[in-house]
Formats: sequence, structure tokens, C-alpha cells
Amino acid sequence: MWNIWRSELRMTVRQRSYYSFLVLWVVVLSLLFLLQSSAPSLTGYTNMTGTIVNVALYIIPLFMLIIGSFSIANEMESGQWRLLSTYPLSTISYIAGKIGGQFTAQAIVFTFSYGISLAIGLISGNGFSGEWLLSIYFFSISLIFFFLILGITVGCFVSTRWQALSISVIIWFFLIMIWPTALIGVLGNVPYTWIAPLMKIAIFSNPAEFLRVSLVVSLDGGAVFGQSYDSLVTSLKAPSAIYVYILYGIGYLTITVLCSVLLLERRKRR
Amino acid sequence: MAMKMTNYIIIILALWLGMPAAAGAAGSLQSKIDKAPKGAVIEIEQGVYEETIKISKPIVLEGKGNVLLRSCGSEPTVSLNGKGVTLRNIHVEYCGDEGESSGIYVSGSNHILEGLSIKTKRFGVRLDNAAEVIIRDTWINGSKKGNGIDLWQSKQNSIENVVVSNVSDGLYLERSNGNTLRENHIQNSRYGIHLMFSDDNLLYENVSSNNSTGSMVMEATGTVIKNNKFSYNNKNVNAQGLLLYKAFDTDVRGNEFISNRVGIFIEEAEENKVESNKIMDNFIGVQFKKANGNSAAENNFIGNVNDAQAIESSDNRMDGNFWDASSKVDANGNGISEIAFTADPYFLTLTADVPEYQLFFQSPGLILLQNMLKSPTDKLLIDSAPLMDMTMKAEKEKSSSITLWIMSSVMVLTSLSLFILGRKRR
Repeated sequence: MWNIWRSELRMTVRQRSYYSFLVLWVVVLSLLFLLQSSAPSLTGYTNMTGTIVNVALYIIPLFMLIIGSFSIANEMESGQWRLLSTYPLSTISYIAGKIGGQFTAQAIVFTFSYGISLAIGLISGNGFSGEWLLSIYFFSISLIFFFLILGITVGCFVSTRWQALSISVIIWFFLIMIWPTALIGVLGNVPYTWIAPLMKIAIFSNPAEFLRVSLVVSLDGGAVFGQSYDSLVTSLKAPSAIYVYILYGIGYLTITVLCSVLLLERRKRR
Repeated sequence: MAMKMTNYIIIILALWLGMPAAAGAAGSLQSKIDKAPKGAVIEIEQGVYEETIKISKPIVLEGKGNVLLRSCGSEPTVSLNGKGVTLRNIHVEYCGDEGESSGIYVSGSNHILEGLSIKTKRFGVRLDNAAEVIIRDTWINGSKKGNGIDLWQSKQNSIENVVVSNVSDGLYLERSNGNTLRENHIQNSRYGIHLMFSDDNLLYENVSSNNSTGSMVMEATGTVIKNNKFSYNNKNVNAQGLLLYKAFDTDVRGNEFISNRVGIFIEEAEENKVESNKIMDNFIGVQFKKANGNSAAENNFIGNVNDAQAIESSDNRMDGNFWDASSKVDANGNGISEIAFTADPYFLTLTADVPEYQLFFQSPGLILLQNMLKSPTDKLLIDSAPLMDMTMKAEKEKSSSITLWIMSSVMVLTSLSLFILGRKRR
């Protein structure tokens, strides 16, 4: 597992596309931080926070799905996976190594860009609130984590990179762009009393929604979701909520890794 | 202001703690009061007095040092009737459980209550058919079971520099007209200032924060709300800075609405004027619901996640405000943008039918949906002459830049070293 981890990390950081991500994040984040200078206020959840969160929600999941699925699909296409299958290497350690290596690499490039962009923002004379910066940072890192492992799962059932790309875009479009539209459409056909519980289930089934809700709650804005989510917001705000996040992360990881392993095992047998 | 308040609280707390525990005094206070002639000044010696007192003639009752009057029965600890009673420098504690009882019960007129500190399990001060009473420099702490100062059919009273916390409603006025509330602080309560069926009251320079609702004006006419600060009223799902419900002819001017769930909520209210307010960092700046014929001008909308929303409301004049999020072009240099500001009520309309959809607040997908399904023009809230510049200053709260530089360099250095480690061949 650690070998896969290390080689995945080494391979990723040596790719040219890795540096284009560096440029992308620095440009996007710097622009967002420079935009802050026109915002008269910085604390809590403001319209500027909303903009930054939405930009992050648009681009991070898309790129992470593509990177995750490509990292597996690439090896499928090049035949490297067939070669690896002949080694005494369990599927689960292969997946775990892939996830670990990719996540480390992406977290490194994002953290680096975040630090650089923050420095650019500071040099240009902007002020920030530390707590706010950390909230946005952890929000983005969590997005990277959840969508990267989802991407890896996608990579496990496609056979070409082209398929990986199209499925990644479909998933992104569904989870990010038309999620509310789809839910409103579906929930319009169920009895009224089912709406609240189904919406709560929906939050947990879409990591992007879950993270967005947690960020708003952590920036003291939970009340904006209204009466139906009062108990949920209160429990996410309590100190014990950290266990909810950990449990959610572990649960999500287990399900996606399990799916990936099963898919690969089936392939091996073929 | 906050500093002043904190000092005040510290002093009061120090007084409470420093008080001798069992310094019972000889002779009951009531008998002294009964014996005193009109116009007398009764100085109360330091100590704890476990009794209820009633005063119905014009005398002055003044505490010398730490004086605590305490009672836990069904009667209020102190009852004032008649005219011209002055209470000064006294601690009052009402520890009873009687539903409608209070620390101080006031009826009659021209009383003065100053420098008091009141701890209560029910109401703090109740004014019942009282007139021209002055309450000032007073501190009230409750246990969320009664109002801080409660006015019932009371006119022309003045409440100044009163700090109220942990009560049901900070200042509650019902059928009470022409009162002045000035420089009071209300926090951690349900409603900060609550007006019901009360006309022509003045609210100046009050601060109402961390309550469910900063101030609620219901079925009242001619209220003037000027230079107050309503902030952080955002914990409750129905929280707002100011709620005008069926209010008529209210003048809301020069106030600050900061970090509330909704800055100003105007519901079924008419002919109200909202001018020159700073509406900042709220989730929703101004919300109209079935409200018609109101006007808002020269307000500064800054950093609100959603500036304005209106449903079933028409004929509200919104011209000449500053909106930080709008696109602005000033072609003829008159300080007014040529591009009208519009607020789409799509989200409100959606959540009015199914409140559960409030979860989609600012969700990226919903913004997309909203842009695709634009509401018809007659449903939009339009500012046809938005201002180019803010009319007041907004201050930023920021962390020290050294901390931020450290944060930045830690991020860069950690990731860089991991990166180099990762690149290395074994």
C-alpha cells in the first residue's frame, strides 16, 4: 500500500498537468482574495463568502472527479493495471494507495496555492479574518477529499479515459448543478410529509451539500435554513458534531472503497 | 458603548459579591416608610432586607452602600403608587414564582427609578397605568420567564440607559403611547424591544443584540426608530433585526442592522419609511411580505448574502439605495447608477410553499435555476436609481497581519517540503 501511495504521489507531482493545477488554484484563489478588498466586511457568512464557496463548489468537485477517475483509467488503458494484477498485491491496498497518493498530492498543491494566494492578498494590502480563511480552507480540502475518492470509484468501472471524463462530468452536473432542481422535481411528487425526512437524507447522500451546510453552520448561519433543520443545525453546531463529521467521512470512505474493490475484483476475474 | 456597559456590569457584580450576607437591619423598612412625612428622604443603611414594601406617597428612598431588598412571595418586592416616589441606588431581588409578579411594580405618575439593579425570576419592572415615570441607569437580569420592563397602558414614560439580559422581552410596551426608550442595551432575550398596539413611541440609540429578534413593532402607528443598533440576532430560525408587523407610519432612520438572519422584515405593514440605515452582513437584508406602500431610500446594503426579497408586495418605493453587489454605471456623473437593481423573489416564492427548500439557500444549483427561471418583472423589487457610493463608512474586523503571514508561510513551507519529499526517488 505504501509503495503504491509513494509511487502515485511521485508520479502525480512529476506530471506537467500537476503544475497547471498549481497555476489554476493560484489564479483563482488570488482573484477571489483580491475581490475581498472591495468587500467592506469579512467576518461570518457574507455575500463574498457565498461567492467564494460557490466558485469552490463549481470547480473543485469537477477537477477532483476527473483527476481521481483518470488516475485509475489511465492505468487501465496503458495496461499497467494488468501488470500490477500479477503482483501479490491486494486490491484494497491498491485502492488505498491510490487514494492516499492522489489526496496527498492534491492537498499539497492546494495548500501551497492557498498560502501563495494569501500572501499575494496580504501584499496587496487586504485584511482577512483568520477563522474565516481556515473555514474556507478546510471546506475546500474536504471537497477535494470526498470528490477524489468518488472519482477513484468512477475510475474503477470505466475502461477508457474518455468514459471516465464523461461519467465524471455527468456526476458533477448532477450533484452540483442540478441537484436542487432534481430534488424539487422528485419531491414534488411525494406526499408533503415526506419532504422533510427525504431532504435530510439528501443532505447526507451528497457530500457537496453536506459540506456546504456544515460550512454555513460553522460560520453561524444555520438559522437561515429554517425551522425544519433546527435540530440538525443545533446538533452540527455542538462540540460533539466532530464525531458526526468523522463518522460521515469514514462511512463515505468505506462505501466508496468497498464499491471500488468489488468492481476491480470483478474485473480481475474476467 | 460596549466598554461602558461591561464596566457597569462588573461594578454591579462586584457590589453583589461584596455584600455582607446576613446584615439584617433593625425595624422593618415598611414601618419607617409609613412613619415618614411627604417629601421625606429615607436613607437605607447597608444590608439585606427580606421584605416587600409598598410606597404611595412622594418620598425618596435611597440606599447607602449596598442595600438589597429581597422577597420570594407572590407580591412584588417593591410596589409604587401615587405620585413622585424616587428609588435610588438599591438592589432588588424577586425570587418568587408568581406568574405575573415582578421586582418592582409601578403605577401612578412622576416616579423616578435610578441606579437600581434588579434580579428577578419573573418580571423586572412592571408599569401598570403609569405615566411620566423615569427609569434610568438600571441593570436587570432575569431568568427568561418574564419581561425586563413591562408597560401596560402607560404613557409618556422614559427609559434610559437600562441594561437588560436573560429575560423574555427586554422592553415590552402594550397599549402604551408616547414613551421614550433611549440608550438601552438588551441581550440574550427573546425580543429586545417589543411594541404592541402602542403608538408614537420613540426608540433612540438602543442596542439590541443576540436576541431572537432585535425589535418587534406590531400594530403600532408613528413609531420612530432612530440610531439604534440591531446585531447578531441570528440564532433563531425566525430571527431578525427589526420586524414591522402591521405597523403603520414607522420612521426607521440611521440604524445599523448587522449580522442578523434578516435585517428588516416588513410584513403586512404600510406607509413605513426606512432611510439611511446601514444593513450589513445579514443573510437577507430586507424582506417584504404582503407589505405595500413602504419606502426605503439612502440605505447602505453591504455584504448581505441576499440584499432584498419581496413576495406578494407591490408599490414599495426602493429608489436611491446603495447595493454593494449590484453592477453600477454612472454615465452622467450624478452619483446615481444607470443600471437598475432588481431583486428576484424566486427563492422566497419557492420556500413559501415548501419551507424545507430553505436548505437550498445560496446553493450553486439553485442560483443556476433562479437565473434560468427569471420571475416576471412585476414581481421584482426594483431600485431604478441605485447610488454609486456608500453614504457611510463600514469598518472591517480583521486578524493581525502577522498571524496571517504565519498562516501563509506555514502552508507554503509544509506543502513545499511534502512536495520535495514526494518527488524524491526513495
